[in-house]
Amino acid sequence: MGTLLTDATRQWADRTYPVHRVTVTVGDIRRFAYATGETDPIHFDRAAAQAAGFRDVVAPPMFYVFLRVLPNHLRPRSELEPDGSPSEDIPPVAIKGAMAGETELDVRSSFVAGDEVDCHKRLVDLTEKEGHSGPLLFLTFEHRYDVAGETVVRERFTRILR
Amino acid sequence: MADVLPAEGDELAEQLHTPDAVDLFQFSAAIWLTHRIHYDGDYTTGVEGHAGLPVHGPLQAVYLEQLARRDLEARLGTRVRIARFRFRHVAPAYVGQTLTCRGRVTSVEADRVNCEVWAEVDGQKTTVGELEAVPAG
Repeated sequence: MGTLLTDATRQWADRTYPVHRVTVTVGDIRRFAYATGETDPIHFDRAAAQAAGFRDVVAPPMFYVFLRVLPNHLRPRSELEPDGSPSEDIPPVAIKGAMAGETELDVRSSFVAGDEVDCHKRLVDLTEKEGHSGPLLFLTFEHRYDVAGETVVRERFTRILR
Repeated sequence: MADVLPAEGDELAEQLHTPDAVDLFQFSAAIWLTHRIHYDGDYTTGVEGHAGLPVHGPLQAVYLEQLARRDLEARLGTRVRIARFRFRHVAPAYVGQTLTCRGRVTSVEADRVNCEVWAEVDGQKTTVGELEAVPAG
């Protein structure tokens, strides 16, 4: 029975990735709102957002996905793999495939245009389990999106390697 | 209108989505996702072995978050915010398929409403989750 959790892999436990700062624009929020079928003017119009008590145009709750994907995918074309994705910065394991596991979100408030968001990422857990066809490695990442030191959204995302 | 306030066991008003290639493109563009499986059909079916372009997992999560938010906003007459949301993808959904989004209220504690939610295609669940909604602001 093989194992994926080698000493080299174990050294990735509690790894902290570089922090990316993203300044959220009205355009970023409008694009996400149109792409997801939102109709409430608070996502498009500054005056409507302000009338509802927000400082500026406000993002829908799942907007954080943009903040997760952008820093990773916004890079030169030459750095993208044939499948269009950047190569993943994950432990060196010989894998046949990867699957998305559970996502757990803690949403404390809403992103507003003009926010300067610090996107933090940490590998918080590496666990091996025995699957039907061999070992499975569960990688749990914590992403934290902070504005002026306050966490707006915290996400725990598990990736399963086999 | 106390009789419309959410109560344990209430079903959320069902929502249907049939995302087409334009919907998938817009979502990829909005989050700057360059992953080919959401726009290149030949590559996705030929190389990756999918039955079509998969609908993004996070887009399905958006549908489920909206399902609860819109239902509860209509009942409560106020803006609602999702405070917690846990979900996982259990089977793929492909472009052109109709996702039926459903859910029910599992508990109500003061102004916090907990719901279970899921999306299904032809009776097969594709994404399942549970969330907690609170009044916005």
